[in-house]
Amino acid sequence: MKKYRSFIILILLIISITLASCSNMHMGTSMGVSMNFGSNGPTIQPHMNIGMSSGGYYY
Amino acid sequence: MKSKFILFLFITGLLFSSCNEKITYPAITSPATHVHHPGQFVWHDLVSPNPKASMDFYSKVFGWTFTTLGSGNDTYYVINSNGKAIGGISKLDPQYGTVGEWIGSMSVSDVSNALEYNTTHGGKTLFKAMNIKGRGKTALIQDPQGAIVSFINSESGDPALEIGKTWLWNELWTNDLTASMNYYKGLVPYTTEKVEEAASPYYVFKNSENKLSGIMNNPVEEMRTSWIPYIKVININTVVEKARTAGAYIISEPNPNVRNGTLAVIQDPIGAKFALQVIK
Repeated sequence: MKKYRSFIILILLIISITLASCSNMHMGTSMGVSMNFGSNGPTIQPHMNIGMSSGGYYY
Repeated sequence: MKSKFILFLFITGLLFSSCNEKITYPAITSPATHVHHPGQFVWHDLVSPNPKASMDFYSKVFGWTFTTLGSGNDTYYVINSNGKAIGGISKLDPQYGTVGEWIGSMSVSDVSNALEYNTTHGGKTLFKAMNIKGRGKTALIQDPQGAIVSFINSESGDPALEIGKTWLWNELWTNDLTASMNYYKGLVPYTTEKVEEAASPYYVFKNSENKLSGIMNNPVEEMRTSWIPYIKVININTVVEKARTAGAYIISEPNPNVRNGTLAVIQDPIGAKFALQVIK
């Protein structure tokens, strides 16, 4: 019975790890960018300096 | 026996012709103008390690449709908007990276001279000049500050100098403002005009009185110098939400303090960056 319970706990643990790895993971870095692990693999999430973003077409 | 031989010749002929098939790319402008405006951005291509995912994203956000040309490694997906070819998507070979990028094609009067200029000034030739059927002579380069751009001398000429229905603007986000300005002013007949109302230094590249592109200090941390295309939108909040739902990362949300909330900067799910701007 004890073995069976341990087995169930192990299975639940594996399932939860698998589900977590399937979802989008997010990891912050200290370099001004973040790394996102989505369905298309890891991508960098750049940070923009709003004070400098005065671009675009000027009429 | 004779019919079998004819069938053999027919199949061999088909195979031979398909092996030598050359893709005819959509013309840069139709009807042809045969007029060139050096410094004008005349075409946009998205290089993507995952064209299918890219097409899925842009069809959801902008309603674009795609026409497939060629096959295998030479497959090219023409982007259509309202029945008109406005750009293309090609597969990025893994050896060149795993992140997508929009690459604008800048009109130059002589591709070979432009390549020589780029090399002399410390830039790199990524793909040497070639004649592409339907498009003209083109080459892919990296400028001395790191921005990737295509040089083109279109066989149909350049589009009229007016705001298009999709592409609004192209802007160089540079890590060396002075060096980039000097480089492009030497490459094409650009002059610069400072925009006084801009919150930070901003210059418009002009050819005569025509505004062709812009340049400013790179506002994104840890990003190499890059040309950013602007897509014209009517309701920016709707498009931003569509992009977010389709998996994009919003680098800069519309902000009332930045150009009255008319701008957004987006990184698509494959990593390609572009901007949105509301047109009046």
